[in-house]
Amino acid sequence: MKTFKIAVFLVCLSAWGNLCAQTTAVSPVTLSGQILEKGTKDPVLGGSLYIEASGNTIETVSANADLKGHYQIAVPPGQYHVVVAGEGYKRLTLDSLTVIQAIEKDFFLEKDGFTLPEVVVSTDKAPPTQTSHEALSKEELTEVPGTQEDVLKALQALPGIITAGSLDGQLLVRGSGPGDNQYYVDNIPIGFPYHFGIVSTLDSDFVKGIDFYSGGFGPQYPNSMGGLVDVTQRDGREDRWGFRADVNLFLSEAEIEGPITSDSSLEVAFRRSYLDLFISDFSGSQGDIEVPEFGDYQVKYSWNPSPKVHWDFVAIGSADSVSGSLSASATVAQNDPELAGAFNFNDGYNSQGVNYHDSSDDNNTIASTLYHTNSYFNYSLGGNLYEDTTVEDFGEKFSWVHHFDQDTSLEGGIQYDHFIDSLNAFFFIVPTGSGQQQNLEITTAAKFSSQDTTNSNDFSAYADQSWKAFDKKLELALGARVDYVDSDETLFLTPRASAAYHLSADSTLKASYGYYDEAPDRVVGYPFLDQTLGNPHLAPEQSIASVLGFEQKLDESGLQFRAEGYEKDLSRLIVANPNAIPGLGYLNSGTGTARGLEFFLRQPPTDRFFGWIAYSLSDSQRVDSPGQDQYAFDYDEPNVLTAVGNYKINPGWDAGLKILYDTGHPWTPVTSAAQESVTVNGQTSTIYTPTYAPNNSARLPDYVRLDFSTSIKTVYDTWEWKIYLDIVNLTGAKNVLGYNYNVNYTQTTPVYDLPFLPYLGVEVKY
Amino acid sequence: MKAPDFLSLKPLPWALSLGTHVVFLLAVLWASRVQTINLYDVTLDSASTVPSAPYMPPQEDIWQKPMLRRTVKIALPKPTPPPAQVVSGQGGHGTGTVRSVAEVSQLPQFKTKMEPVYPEGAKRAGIEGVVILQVDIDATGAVMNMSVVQGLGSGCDEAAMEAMKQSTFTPALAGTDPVPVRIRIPYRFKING
Repeated sequence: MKTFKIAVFLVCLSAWGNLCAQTTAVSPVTLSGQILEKGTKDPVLGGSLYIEASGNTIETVSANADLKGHYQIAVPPGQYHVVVAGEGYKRLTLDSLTVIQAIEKDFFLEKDGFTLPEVVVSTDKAPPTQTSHEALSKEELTEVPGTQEDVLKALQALPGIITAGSLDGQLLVRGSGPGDNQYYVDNIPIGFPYHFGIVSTLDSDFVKGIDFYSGGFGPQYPNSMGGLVDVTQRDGREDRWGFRADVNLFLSEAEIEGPITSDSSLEVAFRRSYLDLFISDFSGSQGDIEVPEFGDYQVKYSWNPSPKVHWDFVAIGSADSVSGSLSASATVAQNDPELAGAFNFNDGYNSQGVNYHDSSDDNNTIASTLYHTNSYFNYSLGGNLYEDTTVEDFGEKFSWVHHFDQDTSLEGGIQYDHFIDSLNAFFFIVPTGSGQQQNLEITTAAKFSSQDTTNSNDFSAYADQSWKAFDKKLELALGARVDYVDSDETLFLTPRASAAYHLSADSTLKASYGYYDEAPDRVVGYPFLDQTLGNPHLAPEQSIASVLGFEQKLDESGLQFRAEGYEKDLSRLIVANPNAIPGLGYLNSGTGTARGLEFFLRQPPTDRFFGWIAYSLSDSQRVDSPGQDQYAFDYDEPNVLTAVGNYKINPGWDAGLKILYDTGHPWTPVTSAAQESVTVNGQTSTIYTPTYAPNNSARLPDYVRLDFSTSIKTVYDTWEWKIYLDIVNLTGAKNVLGYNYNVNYTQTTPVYDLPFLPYLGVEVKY
Repeated sequence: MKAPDFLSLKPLPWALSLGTHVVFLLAVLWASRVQTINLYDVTLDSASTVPSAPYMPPQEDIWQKPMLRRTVKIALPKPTPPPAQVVSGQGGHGTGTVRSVAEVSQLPQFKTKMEPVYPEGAKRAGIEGVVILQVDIDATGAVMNMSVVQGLGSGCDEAAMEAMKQSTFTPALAGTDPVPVRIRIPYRFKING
């Protein structure tokens, strides 16, 4: 019996042991988590994980991550050797990972090299017949030296663009002024996207890319005599919430972005200058000035219910402010006493819009944009003069593209804008003609009061037909735009045509011809249509432009060459009436021409390098009214040469150089000055009145500047930071921007552009 | 700094303008999203247009065909990521086993990289994004199998696969031995500007 009991005990013990052994064998634990890119936390697309039990090469398991980087493996508890790898990333090895119970573990892989091993297939948004067009990526736009990562300032380095000194961020395109350009951000028209004309109001990190047209654009775009800047903002992250902050010498910015639902995202950014918080006001013998301050914001909500349907809501705005006072003893006030006193300057805009794009049908694409823009421009001078302008624009755009077949398509669209222009002013008629600026004396100029609100409606419709012929070697686009302005019942038709002939797969001849009528109500800051300070019957300014070009792709890396010649015949240019008659403050009496040759050699971004060389030879002339002398346009620079290069020394460190050479601006010297007495506010004073040489009859010295930039990025598992340095005028060249005269106009003092100026910043991304 | 003069606007222009545009936009939206279907025109043999294995482009979306008579609203299917795929090693790593990228010491490299042409329809529709192909490459560097693990549609998937078919690789190495491997190749379709 005792033997039997022992036997039963041993059997039970054995069974329990077997049970335990079986339980151990069938109870694996789970190792799961994500395989992500170090720093950005983007999923590693081809990520996989391979583990083997320590000291036992037989027990091995591997798993591929899914598209969001998730992996999951079931293994018996134990010690494991782990290898994590992904194409384009450095291999990560853990010699010993203890897995006793289910655990979650994320792995962060560092990029191995400069770019990921992906195949990039790219094309241009613009049609093949488009002339005078460049599409630049965010990488190029933010790494042009001397721009402080300002995407609009980077465009100044393209051919056909004139610059007016290192501080001026505006674009002066092919013989046109800064107010002759159009700016669109996600299809929403933005009045004037600069802070004081110096810094753009766009957060560069939001920008996906920019299409820049220096001319020749089709009837899809409204009329403009200058260039067209079409900014596309990227959608926010859809995989996780992220944060970015940037602090530099002039401003700080913060942005946050992330998913709202599985198919929608939100991104929000704010920027503000803060020099005013640290630097006290400037004061001296000429007067005092508060440190200028500015801020801006951007919001974008994107919703992609399907790959072919896109909605977004965009809000963007800015505000600038500066004030101070000019001493009566200041040089300019001595000869223009009414300038003495306090001055204030405020401007800004707030724009909102909703975009809808639907290409669900393979042969039809529709797009619609509903938008509102409020621009304001308020300033006062000398204590008495003031001008407050507000322009409201409620607009709607709708376009439809139908593709009959592979070779033929028709595009049509309508646009409606309801403008509310408000003006409250006691001011003089602000000159616009090139030579008139120099002859302005505010003290003796006639001043007028105006308090007016006008409502106007613009209706537009366009059609554009495209064909391919001769085995697709020849492409043609023919279209026209009709605009009706109800304020003065003006109807104008602007036909446009363009063509491309493909000599080979890599060589193309292009040409375009078109009429571009620029309506005066689009220009903020000039009360062109005001019943007192302006002229409500002004006609649109007109440019008839023709372009002939040749494009050659030079190698597989994308190296390309473009040569273009253009001619613009300008008429009905708005010029201030020298007789300053109320209600006839401006006249369509100006004419002009602009012609030039441009050469552009561009290397798009490769693993390590991007850059370009641009040379423009141009001539731009104006006549203010029939019978008057022709003179060089204010921004006429016959020769402009720009070379830009950026090189990645290693994946986290890049450096770039920009060289800029241009012929100096024209300017108007004073030949003599006479004394006269004027009475201002009851006080009589003696001033010197200058006599000027012919308009723009002299030129400033040639302008040469070298800019440098570098940035170093350090990447950690879940965040990264970058320190960047941008040096304007590396060699400290003394470039002359103009001359100041003394009180009796007998001596000049040069006004120099910025000296050697380092700009340092730090960016953190999470 | 002066605050934007936004709230002081007169309400009438606001209401009229916004109301007009919203009505217009909703009309366009309604007209474009509601599709009409003639159930009598739907035939089952449309499936025969799907190419045979191993290359499997996505099936044609029958909802895009012009249809009449009956009106329905259609929720477009949302892409879902494939589940994690587990390849269990059986030990020994014979040359016949397709390995993951973590199991090889050197990944295959393109010997001949064919670049797809951007499909005209995708360009017209503004389609951008990434097509990810999962490709099995054998020990000689030849493509054995491929599938689309993330697609874009509008001809991009087919363009990527066509380019992949014409591409060649150096084989993956485990130590010094060429071995079959499973990799993912992203094709990024990008519209400049």
